[in-house]
Amino acid sequence: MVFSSLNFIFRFMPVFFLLYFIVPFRAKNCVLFLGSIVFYAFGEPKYVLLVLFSIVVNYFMALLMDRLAPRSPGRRFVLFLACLYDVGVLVLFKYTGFIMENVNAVAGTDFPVPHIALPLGISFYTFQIMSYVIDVYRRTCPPERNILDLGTYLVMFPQLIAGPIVVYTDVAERLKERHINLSSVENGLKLFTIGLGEKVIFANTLGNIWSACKEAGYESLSTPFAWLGILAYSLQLYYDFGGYSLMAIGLGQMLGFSFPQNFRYPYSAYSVTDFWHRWHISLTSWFREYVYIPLGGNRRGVFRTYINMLIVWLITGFWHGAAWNFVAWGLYYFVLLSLERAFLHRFFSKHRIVGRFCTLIAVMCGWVLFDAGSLSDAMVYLSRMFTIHGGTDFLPSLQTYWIFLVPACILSFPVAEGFYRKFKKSPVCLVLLFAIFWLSVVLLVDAVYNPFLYFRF
Amino acid sequence: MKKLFRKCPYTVAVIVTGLILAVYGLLLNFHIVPPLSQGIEPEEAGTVAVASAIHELKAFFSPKPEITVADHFVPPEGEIPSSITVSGGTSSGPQSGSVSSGKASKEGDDSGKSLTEKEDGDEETGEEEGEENTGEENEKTEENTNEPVSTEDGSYSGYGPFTEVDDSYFGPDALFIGDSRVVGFGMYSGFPVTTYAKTGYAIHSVFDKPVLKTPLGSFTLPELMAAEPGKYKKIYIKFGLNEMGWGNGGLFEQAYYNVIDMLKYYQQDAVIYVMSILPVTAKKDADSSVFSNANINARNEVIRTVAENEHVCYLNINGVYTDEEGNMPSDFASDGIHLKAAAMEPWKDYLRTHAIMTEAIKAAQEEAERAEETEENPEVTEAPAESAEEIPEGAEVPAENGEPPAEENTGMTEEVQEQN
Repeated sequence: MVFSSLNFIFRFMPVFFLLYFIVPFRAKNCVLFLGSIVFYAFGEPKYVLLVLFSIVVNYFMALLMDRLAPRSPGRRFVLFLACLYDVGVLVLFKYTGFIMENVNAVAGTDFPVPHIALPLGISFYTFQIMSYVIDVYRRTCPPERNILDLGTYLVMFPQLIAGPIVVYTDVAERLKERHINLSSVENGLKLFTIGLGEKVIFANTLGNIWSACKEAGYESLSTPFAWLGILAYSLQLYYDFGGYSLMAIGLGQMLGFSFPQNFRYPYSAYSVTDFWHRWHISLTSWFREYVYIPLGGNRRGVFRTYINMLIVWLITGFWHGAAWNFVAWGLYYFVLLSLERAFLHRFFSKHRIVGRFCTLIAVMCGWVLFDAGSLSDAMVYLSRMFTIHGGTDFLPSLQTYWIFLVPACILSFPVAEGFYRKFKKSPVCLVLLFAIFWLSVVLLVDAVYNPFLYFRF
Repeated sequence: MKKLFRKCPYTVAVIVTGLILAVYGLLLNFHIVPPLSQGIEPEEAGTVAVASAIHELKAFFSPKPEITVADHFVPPEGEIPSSITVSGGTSSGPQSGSVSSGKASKEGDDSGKSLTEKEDGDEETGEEEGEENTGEENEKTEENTNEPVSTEDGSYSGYGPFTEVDDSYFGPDALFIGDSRVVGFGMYSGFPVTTYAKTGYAIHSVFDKPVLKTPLGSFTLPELMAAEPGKYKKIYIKFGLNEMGWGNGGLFEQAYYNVIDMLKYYQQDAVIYVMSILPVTAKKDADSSVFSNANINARNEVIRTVAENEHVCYLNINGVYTDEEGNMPSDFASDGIHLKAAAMEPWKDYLRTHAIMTEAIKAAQEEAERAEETEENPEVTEAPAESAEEIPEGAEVPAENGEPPAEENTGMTEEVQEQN
């Protein structure tokens, strides 16, 4: 179940929140836990067991670690086992097909390539539970004695399937004690509405431009269409993912939690370094906290710093998907960030306009790598962008979608947030939000009814 | 309660509207209240209640125009298309004559379906000359056999057999009408043809839905045709995908007949080609029970019948886009339906080899060519001796006619290709 579905908004949400608000505090975590399991099982009944198993394994590993002396080899070994289990499951379910394919290609063997359906949200909840065991190992937090609370942390439905990656220490306190008041519910629902609008009104419609590019075939796009397509995809990705994160944050607030911000106007970044402080913040900070710094960060000399960055970005690329173009995408950011670390960042900090422009171009080229499907396709697309090809093929898309494209571009910069904070209680703002909510719902309803009578071809 | 509203007015507003809609939706779902608007299927009990309510209310407040199909095409009163005067005086040959007489006969008989009664004189000569003419390319106009000739590749009737043409055939006087797949063709074929096509365009929306939006206004296809009668010499129609699942009881055919009759009425010189619905890829075929290749093939047979009854050409372009299993090869269409720009060549090749050359077309081409040549080299005036022999007897050749026959006009072809 995704948040932007009628089933979630009109069935799961009312029933769940009603139950959640009426039960006494002691039972709230239990309701949240069971509700989240229902939420997960709705789309993926069999993999619920995998999540539950992950909770049990990590729960006992953390307790075991607590009995061993700090920095003892035994404690390190238990951490190793826990991580082995978590990463192992992730690799098994996400990367087996990819590994087999490449082994076959390199060694000329003929192992069968299994097609394993990716368990929903496995990349996200694996990272969350790893943050917990690593934090227990480091003694940043005590192990959770109550398995229900730990389970609630992991499967909490707002962040279960698509982030933000909430680390245990962020919510540990609130798991034990939290205040739910009317204004947090109100603000949470408002954030949920904004996120829903971003997803349904912007991301879903702008996605059509990108699919028009794909329909035509990359090798035939005119230069303007290639740019329009990748601009639309950049915005689609931001509003899709950013909107989803915002919905999660809103739902979290309604539950009485406060989740970290995940997107902070990434396309207004003045350098690629800045971009990664604004795009999928919870993932970047997870990698910094649990990979980059343990590897030594930047404290072990220049050479090790770059090696560490290389490792982090290779894994980041791989985390996004099991294909070579994601690895290339990770390497691409390694190169860009290394250049910035060496000298470019200083230049961009002084010349922010130039920096913003270059960053946008660089990020858009990055998205080509990210979504093209294969490296050779990405190269074809980039060649259409950077060599001149005339054509009018971009006009139909532009004529149909400019009305979404223009506000989407403007709102991807921090222009409206100040107004929102100031006037979010004013009647105008309430009416606007109300309109966004029901407009999104109407669009969702339209997409459901008679899809083949909607004249799509 | 008051405090609740003061503290969180937004939440209360959303919940209250949601509840109202949910109650109404439930009443609809369980058939306790009847739907407000006609034509809306009653909801199933399993649908999200709010969704059924919204769907119902939306249909009530902005009813979608019901799909209506006229019994036959009725030309608007007082509009007299004047193809003979528009087409430059060169096409008083038998082609236009026979079509207009066909129209006349059609207006007489109210079936409105086809040119069943052609000029008897033409028919006789056509039958006599038919056999000896088959080998030759350019003198087809007089063998207007009424019996459609149906092959695997397509069928022609009325105009004569298919011949091969060069790219100059596909100029601005060639009109392409249809859905998003035709939009793609217009965009990526490289032919400078006129395209009146849009995403979601369907055969039953031709008479109501604007196909061209300009700053001056929106125009439906009949309006556009009426504005420029006789302008087009070749009309290619391709519809079918948006209509899948609609009009099985004969409405689909009827809509097709009406559109063809309308085009014949306004564009009397034009050769009308009806193209088959292209197949979808195997993956798409498996995904959807509606857009399946079995359904598409069934519809194509209907279209072929319509074309044959109307005595226009049916072009089975599927022949060049089908693999052994009858599906579109997956590398031709990345979304399973729309041809990639790079996959237009088989289509273009098919059109080049399945064209009809009529007097009107030849005359128009020659005129265009002449204009071209006088532009390039105003002094070329002498007429090659053999060109006079190439002109069929039935046609009235203007006296100043002086250029090589159509096959040799390479200069124009290059010109056209440069525009690509």
